[in-house]
Amino acid sequence: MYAAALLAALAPLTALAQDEELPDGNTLVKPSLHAEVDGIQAGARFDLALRFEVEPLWHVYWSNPGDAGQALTAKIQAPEGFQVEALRYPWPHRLDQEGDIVAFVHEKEVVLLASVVAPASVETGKDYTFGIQAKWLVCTELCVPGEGQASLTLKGSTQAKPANEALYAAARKHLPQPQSKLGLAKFSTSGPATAPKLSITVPGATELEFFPHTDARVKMTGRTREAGKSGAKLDADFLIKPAKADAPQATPPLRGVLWVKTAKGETAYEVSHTLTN
Amino acid sequence: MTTLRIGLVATLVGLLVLGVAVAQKGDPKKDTKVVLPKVVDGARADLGKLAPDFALKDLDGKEHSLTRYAGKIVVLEWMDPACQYCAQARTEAGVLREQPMRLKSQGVVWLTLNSTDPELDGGKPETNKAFVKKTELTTPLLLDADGAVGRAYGAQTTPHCFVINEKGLLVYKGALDNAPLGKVQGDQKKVNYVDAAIIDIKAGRSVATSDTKPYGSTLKYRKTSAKR
Repeated sequence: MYAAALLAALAPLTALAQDEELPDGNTLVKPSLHAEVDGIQAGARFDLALRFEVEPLWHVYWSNPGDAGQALTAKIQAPEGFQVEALRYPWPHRLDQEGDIVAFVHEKEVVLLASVVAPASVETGKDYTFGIQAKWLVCTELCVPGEGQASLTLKGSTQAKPANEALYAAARKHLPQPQSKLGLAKFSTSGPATAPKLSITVPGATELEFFPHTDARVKMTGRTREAGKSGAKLDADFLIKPAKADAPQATPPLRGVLWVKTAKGETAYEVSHTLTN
Repeated sequence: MTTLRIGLVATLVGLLVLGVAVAQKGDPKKDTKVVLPKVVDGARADLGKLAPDFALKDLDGKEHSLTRYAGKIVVLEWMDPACQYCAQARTEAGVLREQPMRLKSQGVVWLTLNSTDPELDGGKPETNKAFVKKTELTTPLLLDADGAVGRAYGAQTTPHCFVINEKGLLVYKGALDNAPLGKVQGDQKKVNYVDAAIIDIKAGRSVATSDTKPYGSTLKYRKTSAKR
């Protein structure tokens, strides 16, 4: 028993020794899987939480990693008949690095959520196992790739109760809200269609940040921010690449997550702004 | 006075000879040599434009510049010995074991650059020397300790690759291939973007895929006081 525990504790060190001085990316991030219910009811919809604990001083990357880095991604394996929806990422924070390298990262801990819909055929008392296969690039002064797995088994039930409530409350607080909840924000664009400037003004805000979503044709090249007594303003510069000949020619919208800080706290919103030519 | 006159005549003759030489060089049919902008003058790399020239020493102290390789296709590959993507690419199964040598036989120059902060392990000369030995690196490894060349090219990751055509124009920037750590995503076909760019150049076509997002380890430059 003790020998097994000792071996397990030494495993990362062995891996480190094998790969000379490079740290082991697999052990710098610890994935785990949690459900918001303690059992599965037939036809129920519930969220799975994919929690990643990141070694202090290291970071992993958001769905759009920015100029460098690679997004933390995960594939969910669900029992037959279960539908799994897209992963939802919390807002990241911006890391400005030497050489004009801008990255969008998560430190310490990141929780991704994915909705699952159970089939009507769920049987009470039967085990249903979910798994994740995750991949990441974890960086500090150097970057190492890593991967990991986690799994979770829930029983079919007719009386499922909420579980992991604190984890879910914190995770949902950090998910971007729909644009409709943004209130009195003003959006405008200026400049040429291939290099538009998006100006966002949010009354009452003390600080803004914009995290662009990944788009093959759209790249945010920079942003400036200012804040005054009445609110905060952000100007983001984009470059829009021409469409490939066989692809839709319409200009793609400017999409991203707008982070808003006010005296009351911080929140973020999914934003999509269509350019009018 | 006579000395002055002789000196003046010699200068005039010299200028005349130089003028004829310049005129000949200016004829594109006779010489394709172009004057590249320089990193030290603040030039920045831009797709489709002349690539900024630099002078960097390899680990043996030999200086390399784009001017030295004028008229040839040049690949610039940013590398860091502490980057697993770079190390993987130079293992037995890795693409960079054979690609630079294969391209060399086709007259292509491959330069490996390291712009990592020398305070960090990956930027230290001794780490780089050990990497050369361990991976049997065949390409010149140029240390860009202050990161000036990396910043001028906008190198963001290791590996981050740039291809310059025979005319000195930057025609490709981005990832080495679509296979980080040798693996492609899903069912995609493996594409080596650097090879593809060189095939296009040699066929006299414009480079079809000229700009891709680089993958790999984020490049860690030495800190400067000049912030944007």
